[in-house]
Amino acid sequence: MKALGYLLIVGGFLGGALTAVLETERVYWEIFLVAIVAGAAGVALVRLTTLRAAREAEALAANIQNIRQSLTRVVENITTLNREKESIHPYDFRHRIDELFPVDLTTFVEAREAIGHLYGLQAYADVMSIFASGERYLNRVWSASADGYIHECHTYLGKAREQFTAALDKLHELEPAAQA
Amino acid sequence: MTTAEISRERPIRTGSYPELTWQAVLVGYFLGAIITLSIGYASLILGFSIEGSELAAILGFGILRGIMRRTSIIENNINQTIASAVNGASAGMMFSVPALFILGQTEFNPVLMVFGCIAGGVLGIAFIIPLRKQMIDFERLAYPGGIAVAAILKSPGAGLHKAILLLGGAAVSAGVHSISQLTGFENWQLGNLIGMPQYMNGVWYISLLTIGVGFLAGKGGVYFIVGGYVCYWILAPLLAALGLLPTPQTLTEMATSMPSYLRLQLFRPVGIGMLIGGALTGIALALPLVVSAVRSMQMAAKTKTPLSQDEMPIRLLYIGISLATLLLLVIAYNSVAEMGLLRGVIMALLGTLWIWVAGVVLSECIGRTNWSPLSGMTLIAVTILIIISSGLGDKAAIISSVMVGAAACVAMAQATDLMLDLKTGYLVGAIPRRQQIGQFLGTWLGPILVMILIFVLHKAYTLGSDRLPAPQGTALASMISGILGGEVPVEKYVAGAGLGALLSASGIGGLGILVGLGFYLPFNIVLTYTIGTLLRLWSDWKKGKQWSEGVGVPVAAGLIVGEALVGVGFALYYVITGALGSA
Repeated sequence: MKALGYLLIVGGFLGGALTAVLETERVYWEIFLVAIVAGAAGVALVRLTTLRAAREAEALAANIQNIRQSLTRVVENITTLNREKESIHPYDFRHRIDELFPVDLTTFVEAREAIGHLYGLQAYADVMSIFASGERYLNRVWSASADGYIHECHTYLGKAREQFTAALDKLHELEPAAQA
Repeated sequence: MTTAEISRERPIRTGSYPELTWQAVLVGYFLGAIITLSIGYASLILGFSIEGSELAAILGFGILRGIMRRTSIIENNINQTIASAVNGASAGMMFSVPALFILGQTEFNPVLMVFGCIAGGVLGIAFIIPLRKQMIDFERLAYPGGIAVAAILKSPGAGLHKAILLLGGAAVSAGVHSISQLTGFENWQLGNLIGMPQYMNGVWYISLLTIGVGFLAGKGGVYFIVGGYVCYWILAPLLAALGLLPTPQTLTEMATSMPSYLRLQLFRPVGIGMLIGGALTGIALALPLVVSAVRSMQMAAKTKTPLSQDEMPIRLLYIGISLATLLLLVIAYNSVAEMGLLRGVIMALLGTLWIWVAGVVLSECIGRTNWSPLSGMTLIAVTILIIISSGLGDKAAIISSVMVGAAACVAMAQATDLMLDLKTGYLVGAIPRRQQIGQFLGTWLGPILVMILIFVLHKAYTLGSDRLPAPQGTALASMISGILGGEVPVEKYVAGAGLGALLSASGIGGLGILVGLGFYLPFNIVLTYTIGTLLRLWSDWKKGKQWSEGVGVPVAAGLIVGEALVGVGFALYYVITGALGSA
């Protein structure tokens, strides 16, 4: 069904584009509209099947698990880093950040759309807003570490931890709501 | 000695981390003025403008770190934000204002024009700020130029290996671009060499910057290149098979080439429509996220949590939008004596609405591909404004529409520049509110400088002359003449909008905009961009994403920086030789 949908979109688009460029002055509207309607039918098919597939328990479960696991690891790592911050040389924070976070942050970002499919767009916006603040604060720790500003590293490490923890809490809050 | 040991010998600093400081503001103004005048002058000769962020970041390095002994990545980020905000006016005004001189309509009020451009700049910034969360936090658009600037800013702490990769990429790119500039070898006619038909347009743009941009955009750029291939490798051969392409003799009579005919007469108008239809559909689909972002700003203003301090108060943005719209109304009303209040109000309101729509279109485009169809959006703005002002007479219609159009053009340039800088800021951990204040602080200076530059250069060399061809202004002038003569491809725009809407509704983020951009841009850029896209797909697949991030991204950022710097170097060369009167 999805392949048929894409076929209709591609066919509709190419047909529409061709009728739009056949002449410099005019467009063959009758053929153009047929092409657009075919494309629109394809869009409807693709969106329906995508939504159905995205809501399929297995695919969603895998993505949500990736999201939860990666964010949990981020929270664990930043909590540890925050706890040990007094013993870490300010110039070394950035090396620790480069070692500990990129893989999990990337995994979270790549699977993030599952939040929207499962809990809705508002929930997606809420989680991503908090997560992005955490990531931005972590980037600030990296910059402050490169410049040797010890207090800034400590302050924003704490702030980043708060944000990532809040994002994880928000995810946990969403689970019972979705089940209900 | 290990990296860790080297680090331990460096001073540990206490106290707050410098960010929005007076040093950053003043250096931003200084660098912004130099970059604006250089790039503004160069654009009158070369026909395109250069984004000033990379240059400002590197020069800021030299001044802030080297001379003033400042030590903050995010302070340099503010400096670069302000400098590129000043330069935003050169991109916006050099495309539009010279058209008035070329059309011989110099009896406009330059002070009013400057205020109009400042109002436009404020509107562009105020409208795009609430979309930061949606585009950067939620959609996570790539903004390749923003990544390149972040790589420069972070280079003191990124380690020797990454710095070498960045500098290596910059050196190779600078070398290639220098050779290209000195020899005039800017395009490689591979299509001709292998006997490809002219309509398939096998010309490669010699630009490592374009490859770097394609690499940084990654998967996001695939649909953009698809748009170009659809035009020249599917639609053009179909038109040829149907016998619908002009003969060589007709092309000679039209004084154009096959690729130019295809692009300007057929594909570009449809592409412009696709950009608008695609963007508007994208906005409609993302409305819940946009509303959520605005609501989050409103909540932040009420709750006053530490996190809310990161965002610009939404009430301030509402006030800014209201005042700037009012100023635009005053300017539209006073632009020509024949205007009248009702027409002035309609022009100002439609100009404001267009600033918002086009700001979103351009920010999406630059976020996904690093290319901004500013000229196409300005063309639409001027077309709408001329239609409103028709009946006033050609002279009044041209002056009033270019005046409000210039304001819209500066607004669009400011919106895209801010989004690029905010992406950089995200990557270095800057506070968005401070960057946004920096952008507002830089908005007023550019229009003043550019207006003075335009008048001085016109008096010295005459805009539109062989010495100062002003290609963008000339193009807009000829389009204005065409619009006044009734040659507006409205049907193509409408059909394009339908196609863009269809693709954007498909569920693939920004598809209508990306494919539309492929229709809009010259195919030589698309071909070269393909190399960057394929390299990124290959490196992610074969070498892994960590390698792409750790090795590929610094090299790609270097490719962008090297070519941009050489471009500015040539601009400076033109400024100096122009001042000496020897060019």
